[in-house]
Amino acid sequence: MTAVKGISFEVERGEILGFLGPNAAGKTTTLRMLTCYVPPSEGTARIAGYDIFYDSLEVRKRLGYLPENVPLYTDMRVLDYLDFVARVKGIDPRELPGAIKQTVGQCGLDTVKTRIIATLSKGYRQRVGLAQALLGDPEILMLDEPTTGLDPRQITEIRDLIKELGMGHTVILSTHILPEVSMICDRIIIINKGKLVAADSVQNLTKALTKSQMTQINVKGDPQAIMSMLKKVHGVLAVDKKQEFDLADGGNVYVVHSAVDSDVREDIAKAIVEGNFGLHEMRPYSLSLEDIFLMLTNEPTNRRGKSI
Amino acid sequence: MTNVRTIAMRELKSYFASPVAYSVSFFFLLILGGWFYFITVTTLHQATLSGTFEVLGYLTIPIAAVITMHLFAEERRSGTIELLMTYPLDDWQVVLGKYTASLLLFGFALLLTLQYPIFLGLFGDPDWGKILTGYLGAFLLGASFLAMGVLSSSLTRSAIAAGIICLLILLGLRFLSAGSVLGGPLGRTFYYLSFSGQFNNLTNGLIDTRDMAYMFSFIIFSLFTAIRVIEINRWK
Repeated sequence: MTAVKGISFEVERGEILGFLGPNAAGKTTTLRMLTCYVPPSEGTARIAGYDIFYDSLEVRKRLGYLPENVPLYTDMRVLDYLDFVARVKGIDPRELPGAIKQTVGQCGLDTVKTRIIATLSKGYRQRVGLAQALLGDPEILMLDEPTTGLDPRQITEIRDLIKELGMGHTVILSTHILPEVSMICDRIIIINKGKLVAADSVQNLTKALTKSQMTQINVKGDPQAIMSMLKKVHGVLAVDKKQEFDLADGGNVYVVHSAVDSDVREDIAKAIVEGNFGLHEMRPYSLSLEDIFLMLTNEPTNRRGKSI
Repeated sequence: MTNVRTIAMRELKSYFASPVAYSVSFFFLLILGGWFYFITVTTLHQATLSGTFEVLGYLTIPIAAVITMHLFAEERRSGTIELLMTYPLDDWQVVLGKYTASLLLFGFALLLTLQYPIFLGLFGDPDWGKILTGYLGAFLLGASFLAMGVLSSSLTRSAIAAGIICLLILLGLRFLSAGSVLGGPLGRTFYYLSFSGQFNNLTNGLIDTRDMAYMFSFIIFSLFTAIRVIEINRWK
């Protein structure tokens, strides 16, 4: 079975790259290939200039990897485990205590460092996983869904840590949690069904996918009349009603499409007032990452995507 | 070599952090001690370890299976192999490290049995040469069986299945010696492959390079195959 096919992308040094896709899109498989765990049957990749197949050892020396389900040796104590990882990563024995101490501090493991990993909560295991990836100060960090199964506070903490790490490392972050990506990633890559569908910054993707200027308004009154009136306003290309039922304030939310770089807000407002409808709210509407993600991963069947 | 040592140390710690090391040593001593006391000392009144070594020869089969069955199978089941394989380690270092750990644990259990020859020395006059080569034989036999155990463990993600595979292969080899009744070259081949000949020679005080060659090539073959299997598992 082919999990991914023909994916091609680049990551700059010091960049945080968000690696997005629906479940089973091939994110984990791609990361496994990049970390030299699974060899690609076709094609290759270079990490820090080294080929993942022919110079696998050199690649692995520069890599910190946190697999999705955080597989740890649960019968070990946190410090023993980190000591083991530091050694197999080839850290100089003289620098070992310092390196472990630094990582323990960085990942907030001080209070649990002498505990057996099996007795730790999910959040702390995740941190131990992160700590083992960070040991040896690798150039590249690959984190596969690092915040799944954590509570909101732990998620925020892990995100802050990743953001901090992004200052000095190249980070590839796989996830399907979109706000996470808009918050911490410089650039995103979206894959779907094993194929690459987008690779750019969130701003550029928004720009590229926005085919019209959009204004969201909330107006009270008969929807039919409002829509036909709005369509007559000069410069308006289309009007969408966002929901089926009246809101609590008696209004309805519409998205007005107009030509890119045009501004129809004043004309809309004038028309609504002249038509004796109640204007409750007006604001520019831009595509959220959710919209982009749905458009790109779901194009043929998504009505909302088509209408934009 | 540092990497082999690091892996071996981790495995060894995990042996002693779990009941494996203690239960293996316990059964080892229970059965061998029982034989030594009731048969050798009380019944036969002989200052020899021949009988004890013979029991040890059979006992090594399940011991090897128990010591090695989790080594790779458990890593694959729990997923820890994914991290292990993405650390800057060569596959042979991982295999050799785990094998070394199992060998050290077996050696530890063997050391505990040194009390029997000490007793024999205190109360009788045993043939020290034979005891020495007997221990060499026991260690090499263990080393061979453990290597097969490491290979079995690399074949599956179930530790129990790995243990059973190892047990079946080693018992099969052991019972090949029954083929010696066929006589002729075929009978001799069966006997030779079964480890009985090599082990008997050593417990009788005979060090033969052919026996050494067989045991060492068995170890190298098993470990080399295990390394290849680990490599193939990446492609699946």
